[in-house]
Amino acid sequence: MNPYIALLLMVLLNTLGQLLVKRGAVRIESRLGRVQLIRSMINWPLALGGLSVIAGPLLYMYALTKVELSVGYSFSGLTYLMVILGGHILLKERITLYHVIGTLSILAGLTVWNL
Amino acid sequence: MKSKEVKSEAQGPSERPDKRPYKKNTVAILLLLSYLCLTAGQVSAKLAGMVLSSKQVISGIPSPQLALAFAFGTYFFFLLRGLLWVFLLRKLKLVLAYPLMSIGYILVLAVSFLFFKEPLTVGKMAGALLLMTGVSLVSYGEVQQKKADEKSNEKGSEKGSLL
Repeated sequence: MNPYIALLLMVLLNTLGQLLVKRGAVRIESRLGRVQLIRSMINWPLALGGLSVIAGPLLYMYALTKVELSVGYSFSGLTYLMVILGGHILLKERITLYHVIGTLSILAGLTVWNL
Repeated sequence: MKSKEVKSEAQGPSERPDKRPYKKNTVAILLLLSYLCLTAGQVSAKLAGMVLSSKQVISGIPSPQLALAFAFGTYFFFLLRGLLWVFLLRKLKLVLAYPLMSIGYILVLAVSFLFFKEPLTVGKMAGALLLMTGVSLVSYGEVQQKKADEKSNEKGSEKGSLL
């Protein structure tokens, strides 16, 4: 497997894990008292969160067999970015100018880092 | 004993906030520990990668066990760091939390250069600055949006509270 694909997969898993934990937390809060709903909702975020915790580092270590550490670590910025953007798309939060400029800066940073 | 009583009276209630069970020192210590865990975890991961790509890291210790050891180390430090950040995110202002976390870019870059002798290019340094700036900007945007949300929520609930 191409190490960059492994890194992108790791980013995807980590993003999904973090987003689902965020979303799961939000849902559980708003339905306190309805025990059955909480039980059914605990599976989703825990499953993907657990997967990202277990598979994420594995993908990372695999990628590090072929790329430099500094190259691998730069992808963590991508995780942060996707969690923010994903949160905005899924949870319909608003985006400000700072978000846009910050995103461009992060992407520029990633590109420049890996040139 | 009298001087101690006078001192504690002079401090007053504002000096002993019940809302903040953590002192500032605790946050600083947790933050430092999180940086340590970050670098330790990254080094461990890279070492695991090196062993797996059959480079001799420590002579005398067979590869599979060494790789396993480094893999465990990676998981340990990653999880510990995650735990530390769960606590830190409660106590740090949101506008500070992620930018502080982004200082990790400089740390990991330094470690990769010092420890693994990876070339320190201008691109990496510029990239680190851009990344840190970007994270700070996005964090500020998050805080801005949260404040705007709170304001609109207040306006919405004012009507309800009249009842």
